[in-house]
Amino acid sequence: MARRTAAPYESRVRQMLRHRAALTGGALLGLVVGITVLGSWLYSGDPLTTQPTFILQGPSAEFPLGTDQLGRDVLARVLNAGLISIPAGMLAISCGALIGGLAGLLSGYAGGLVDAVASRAIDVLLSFPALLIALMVVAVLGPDSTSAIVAVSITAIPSNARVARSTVLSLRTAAFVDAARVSRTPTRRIIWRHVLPNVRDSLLPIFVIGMGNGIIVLAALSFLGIGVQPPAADWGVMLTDGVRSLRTAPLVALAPAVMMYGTVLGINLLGEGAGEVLSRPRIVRRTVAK
Amino acid sequence: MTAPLLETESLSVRYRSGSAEVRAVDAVSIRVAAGEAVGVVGESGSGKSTFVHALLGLLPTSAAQSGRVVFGGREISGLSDKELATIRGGSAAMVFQDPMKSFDPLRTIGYHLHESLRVHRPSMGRRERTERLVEQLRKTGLPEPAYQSTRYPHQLSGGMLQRSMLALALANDPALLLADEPTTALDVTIQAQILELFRELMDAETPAASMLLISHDLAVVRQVCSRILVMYAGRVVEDAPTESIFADPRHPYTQALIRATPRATRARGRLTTIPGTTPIITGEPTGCAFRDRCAHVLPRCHVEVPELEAVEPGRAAACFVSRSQLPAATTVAAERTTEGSGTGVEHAITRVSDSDLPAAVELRDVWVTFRASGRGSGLRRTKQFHALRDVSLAVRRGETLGIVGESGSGKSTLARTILGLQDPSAGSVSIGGVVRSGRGRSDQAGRGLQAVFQDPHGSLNPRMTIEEAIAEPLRNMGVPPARRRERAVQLLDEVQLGAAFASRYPGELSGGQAQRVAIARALASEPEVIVLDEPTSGLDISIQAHILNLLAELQDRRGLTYVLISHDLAVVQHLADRVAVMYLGRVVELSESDTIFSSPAHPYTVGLLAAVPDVDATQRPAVLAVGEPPSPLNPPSGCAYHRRCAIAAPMCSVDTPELEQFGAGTVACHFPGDARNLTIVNVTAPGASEEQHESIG
Repeated sequence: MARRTAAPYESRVRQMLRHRAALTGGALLGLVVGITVLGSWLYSGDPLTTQPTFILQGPSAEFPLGTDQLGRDVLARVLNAGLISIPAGMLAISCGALIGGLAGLLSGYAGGLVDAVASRAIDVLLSFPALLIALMVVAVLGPDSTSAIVAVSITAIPSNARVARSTVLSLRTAAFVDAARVSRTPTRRIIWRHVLPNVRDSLLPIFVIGMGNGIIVLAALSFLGIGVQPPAADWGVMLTDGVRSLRTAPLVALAPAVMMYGTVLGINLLGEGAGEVLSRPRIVRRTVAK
Repeated sequence: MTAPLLETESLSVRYRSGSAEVRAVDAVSIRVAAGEAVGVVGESGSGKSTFVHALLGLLPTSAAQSGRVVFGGREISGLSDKELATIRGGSAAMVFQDPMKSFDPLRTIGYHLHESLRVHRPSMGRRERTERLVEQLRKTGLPEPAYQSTRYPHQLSGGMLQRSMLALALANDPALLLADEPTTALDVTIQAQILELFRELMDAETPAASMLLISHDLAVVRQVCSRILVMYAGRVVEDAPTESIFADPRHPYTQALIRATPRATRARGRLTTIPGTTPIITGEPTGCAFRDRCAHVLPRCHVEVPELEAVEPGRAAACFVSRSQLPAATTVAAERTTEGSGTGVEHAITRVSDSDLPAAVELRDVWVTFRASGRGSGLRRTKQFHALRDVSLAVRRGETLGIVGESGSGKSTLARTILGLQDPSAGSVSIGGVVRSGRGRSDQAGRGLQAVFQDPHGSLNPRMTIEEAIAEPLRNMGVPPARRRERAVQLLDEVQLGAAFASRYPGELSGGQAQRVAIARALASEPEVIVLDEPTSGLDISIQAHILNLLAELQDRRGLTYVLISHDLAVVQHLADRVAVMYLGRVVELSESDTIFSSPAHPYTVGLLAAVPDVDATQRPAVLAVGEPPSPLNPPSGCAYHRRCAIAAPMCSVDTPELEQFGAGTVACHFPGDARNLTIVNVTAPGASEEQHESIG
């Protein structure tokens, strides 16, 4: 028998705050983003000034995280790189989720031939690893940060489309959609007011987790030299610089690695928590007895 | 009295929910004697299911259980899961509600029985086990038991699975059988077969086992049990022998529950309702849980919790009122009849005056055909199946046409076809004389048509407020926002909810409230016809009575036409003026409600009516429709019912009968009316009044 809970409606935000993984993830992400934003605002070091006299130095009062092989301030660079990596990853995944989610929504609602064609196209995209797709896109568009963002957003399309489509398929036959159709609600409004808001719940977790993935793929592209172009640097570019001097000045690589690790871990925990909270039934159900 | 087989002593179950502690079961003490069949009745939230699960330690770990359970002279409440496992399925077995979910889909039926026998009788050899399991399956009436035991759960129908479930439960000769809503998921003809089986088990000279039967349905419990426990908000409120509880219920809740059950009487009056909903008890209860809904409440009820105490030998009630005075319940039947005949006449008048106008809804030769992928040899072949076969019917203005049938009969497809959610493959649908073109919003035929669906929460968008939901049809009609808001509030008043609900979300509503909102939404566009697709089957009896009364009231006030689809014959009889009986996609009988229920002409209708357990027990359900409905993928030739029919002749398997005039109604049968004589074999329960005999006809 279905049991009613005493408090019928606890807000989703409250539930997230009580969820341990979500809370930890949120705190971690907040910490990384806070350090990045506040740090680059407060810290006066310049990420681009090269100082040939201070190459590959250890931490000091002047350079808290030391310098790289061109004598640039690692702390200033890692803070500044965060300002590129985090928004770029978010932007790319947001675009991808928007396109993928809409494609899945429309193809699922339309059904028939449209759905069949769209689904096969998604299958093709899904059959390649994300990094490979990104590499192909960059190969076509030429290596720069814009094409890297485009590439990453394309990698986010198939998973979002899949999830959106399957949710729409079950919503399409939901009784409230039938009721709306009986009331002669225009199809456009059914999609926007009845289907879309309910798809959002199932898209949010993979959207959040996708963001972590997006940051990694973007960094990977930069690491390979086909993403963000020097002298500008994101965490990926910094890693490239860092590996060359991993033995002598490990902080050059470690600093961006830790920041990236923190961001992605925080995002994943948050996404996991969101998924769990959102999958809880929204409706207080009672037994459906025949 | 000898030592009871099962005894509980203040068994309580509590759940934490947020900061509150919910008392699901509160200090329940019961005794079940050996060979006794005890029914546990209650609505959702009464704790009946939690209680029975607690007996065998089947509750989730989040539940805190206290109190004693003594089974067969041994205290089992403190036992470990491992020790309990030797009892479960051995000396105490369970039958669950949904047979589809109770079997492992990857294992055969036989495997499940083998496993149970192997665990509880390690000394038994494999061949011996096979013999025994086939014997058990035969005893529970499974056809071809040896063959069926090699099949997988998805290959068996619901009825066959429930028989297998019962065989599994009885495999180790349990002393106690716990059955949790064992027939709720089944069709009524199958339910009658399973109940018959339970009765055989219990009526035997030495009953196979003691039984605890949990059900929301008083009529079901009445068929099988000799004693009934009524539960409310986690407590047993009444405990009495079956006959006396129906003749003279002592707790106001029991009284109200019996009154609120729609019956097979011809009266179309209002049902007596219980105000409010079942409360959730958190913390220490301060008084009687029923006090806010009780008509006889005393000052004492607010401050003191009534304990279950003997009111006369052999029966007990937890009520302060029942000990002093309680108005007799016997006058209820009379009230109902007088009230009912009044409304019935008014209806007849409205109908006659409208008879010249075109029908509100008319279906002509409608077929609905689906493609299903079947298994062919090698290549995948698509197979056709007809959800509706050549259905023609007209719904008159202002009437209620009831559509009854079991699962797979096509009644829901019929509803969807009328509503334009499903296009007919052949034939035409016209609404108010306008033929439906199948062109969505530009189609004029769909105006004036609305619907109320089965699952009240499912039919409301969880992301929309109540006001938005009700206003949507108005918005589609171009009504300005201010006017929409005003109408929404009016409509909320009309369904007795009040303006405070406007800003709430569906998740904050109970099932009954949500269904009222769905009705308000259906009324918003001022429709002429409302299709009611199982409007009350998701609701508790006390809530159902409210909704049925509301629907009847709205019809009287607004002159609405209803198409009422339901598997529940009592509900249809209560509301419908005419009834169409469907079987495997065809209408097999269509007549005035009185005619159908007093003198059914089609053998299937006769079988269906005979299978309905009657809460007043004027007749025991009889199994006239034998076996199970055939698959619509592979329907029998000729009359689809001939394989289950008691009066079938050779021509029935060749020639499909058409719907033809017979007596006052229409029937699709080669031998209309012949099956009526079959009702004579019914065993009439003692104590049935003369008047009620007549209605069986």
